[in-house]
Amino acid sequence: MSRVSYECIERLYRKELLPEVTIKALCFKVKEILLKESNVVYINSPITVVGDVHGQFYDLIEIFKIGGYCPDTNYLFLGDYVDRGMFSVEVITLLICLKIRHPERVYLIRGNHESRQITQNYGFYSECIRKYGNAEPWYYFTEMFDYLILGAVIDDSIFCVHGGLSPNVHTIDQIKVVDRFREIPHEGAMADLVWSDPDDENGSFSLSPRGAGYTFGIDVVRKFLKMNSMDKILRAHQLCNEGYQVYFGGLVTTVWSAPNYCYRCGNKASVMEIYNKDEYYFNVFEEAPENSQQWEQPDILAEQVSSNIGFRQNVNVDQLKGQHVDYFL
Amino acid sequence: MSNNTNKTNQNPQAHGIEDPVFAVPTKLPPNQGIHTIQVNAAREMFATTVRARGPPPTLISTTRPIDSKEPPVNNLGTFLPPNASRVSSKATPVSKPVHNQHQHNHEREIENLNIQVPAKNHNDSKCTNPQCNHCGTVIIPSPVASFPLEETPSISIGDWEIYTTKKPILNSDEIDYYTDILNLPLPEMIFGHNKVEIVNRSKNFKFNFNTIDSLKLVENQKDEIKEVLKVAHSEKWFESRLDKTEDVKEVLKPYDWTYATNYKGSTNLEFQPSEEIQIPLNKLKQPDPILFFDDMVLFEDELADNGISLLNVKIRVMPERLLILSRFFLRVDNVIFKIKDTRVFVEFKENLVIRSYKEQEAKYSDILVKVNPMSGDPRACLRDQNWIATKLPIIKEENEFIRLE
Repeated sequence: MSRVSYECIERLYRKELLPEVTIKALCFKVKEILLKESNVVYINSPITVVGDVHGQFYDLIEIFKIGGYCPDTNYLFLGDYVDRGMFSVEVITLLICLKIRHPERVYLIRGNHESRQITQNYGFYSECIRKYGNAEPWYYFTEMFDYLILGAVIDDSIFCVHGGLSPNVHTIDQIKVVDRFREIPHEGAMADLVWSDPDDENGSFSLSPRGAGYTFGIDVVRKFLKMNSMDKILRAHQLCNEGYQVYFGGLVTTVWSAPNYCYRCGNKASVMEIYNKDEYYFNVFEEAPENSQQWEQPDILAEQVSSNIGFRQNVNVDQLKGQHVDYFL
Repeated sequence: MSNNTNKTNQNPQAHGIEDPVFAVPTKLPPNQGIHTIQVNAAREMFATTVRARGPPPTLISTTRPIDSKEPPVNNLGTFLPPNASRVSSKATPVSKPVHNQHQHNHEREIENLNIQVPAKNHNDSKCTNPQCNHCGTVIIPSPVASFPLEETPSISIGDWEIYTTKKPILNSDEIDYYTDILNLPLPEMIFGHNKVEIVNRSKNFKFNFNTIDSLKLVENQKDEIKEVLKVAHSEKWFESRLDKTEDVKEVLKPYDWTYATNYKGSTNLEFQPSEEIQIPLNKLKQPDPILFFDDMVLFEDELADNGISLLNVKIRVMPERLLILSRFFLRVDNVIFKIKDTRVFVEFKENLVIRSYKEQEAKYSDILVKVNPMSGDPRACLRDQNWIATKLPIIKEENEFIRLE
């Protein structure tokens, strides 16, 4: 398998799609590896922590170019590999191949987008159908998502998670006993870990006005860190213009790794390179130059539609290339 | 003019490669299923932005006299852009401006209208309009797609000046500043500097669509909020919570988390309501040349992945008139759809400004049943604003106008 995965990695670096049978085999293999991992894994520095990627393949390659390729650099990914970007399939396939090839050097945490329900709404499902002509690869991938870990601890001092804290979780040991091999539920500890956001105004947990979900404040962060003898929390999940954001005087840090998010936000991105407990820095970067070229590929343009009201019949590539204005009404 | 995009003709996909170990994945045959529907709003919006940046390979109607002949109307009741059928199969890719395809006789038609690019009061150093190397004519906002995305194109026609501004999302200091001013957690993607502005100095008229003003109309006081929407799984979520909430002390300050704004633009003059005066659609259906076009997002929030809330503004300027469409689009998954459209129409010579406002709304389930069940990916339809707009019933409509003296 490792020989095959080596060849897969070579192909994926070139942004080639792997065939459906290979996807099936890779997902099976990576599940075998993930099954052995605890809900919360303990890892050591030096390590580079990567936030949301969201299918921005060229920007993921940019991260490897900047931070070093596997296995020369250890990587911890904080989740949200798919949806929104154009190349979710390529991104997640590459990441699981790297995990198979270097299981001790690459760790993949689950984000809220690694879920059946969310991927149907935000593009990954559509992308699988578009690229493979059927939903089978999507089934393989989402099955595999159920095996991803929920958190990690670096050097016994930095707790890493996709979203944040939960009022149902006081200790890291409580996370370890959660049954994680399932779709992300709407409620409970597992949901909160991938969904919640820090909030400056309120010290404790607050309910979101949406009617579901929490924000967590400085008091509960202090309590959690003290109870678990941790120094700080590292998470992703929220877009920030600078590529990272520091909360509560450094107790909580957001790492965001999708530059020019959705190819139009104009934001920077960063990865956090950790050398030891006290020595770390943010490597801030901007979008990969290939992003602006991808729009000239006919197969991508063909899927775009004129935004004319109701103007929805089959649009051919040449029309789209020439059509820069829109006679909207 | 800068054009920093290097083109490559290679196809990065694996389709051409033959390898016994790696069978080539089958590709979706053309014209099957739903693949003409946009993959999601973000991709569509980006493509629109990219399209808007490049000048068209041919100036649409320079060779076509402006007449009142009706353009072809498709079966959905809208009309096809005149260039759609006329673009040659060798059209140039989006980001490459092609000047030699301009036909330099457009001065003939539009000279007497006193068109200036950039607008006559635009600070020259900031204007990024692309200009035709041959005649200096500028049609469309800047093709510069490099980082940071910052564009401030403009045009003036007679006394009318049109400016647009596009910048990246706000940084964290700006977000803190506006969060305090607006007393509201800001949307996830907040393009706080984006703006579409029209000015007529001789008549002392100013009108613009901007992000901050639009958010001022979002309800942020408890007693203001008429209808409290909750996400689909809210009830179940609360039930599961009841006995274990000792740490949860406060409910976050309530506000309309869907950002449903009924913003109709910011202006310095009063509009008069009117039953009779309406935007003349027949004039807008004429295939007039589009001298200036822009399309931008003011804010967007994916409601913690419970749907989407999006405010988008686009503008097209023709020699004799302009149209702005500001559309607020809301989808709360398994709950509701809302669309709030504001259209602003200006007839330059008559100094007439008409504003029409329209609200549409329906339950999510009512729209879901209208999706073709054979499509294989029904959610894709529910991401298509234009399709939704044709399905939602209208619940409110009003027209106003100003005739500038």
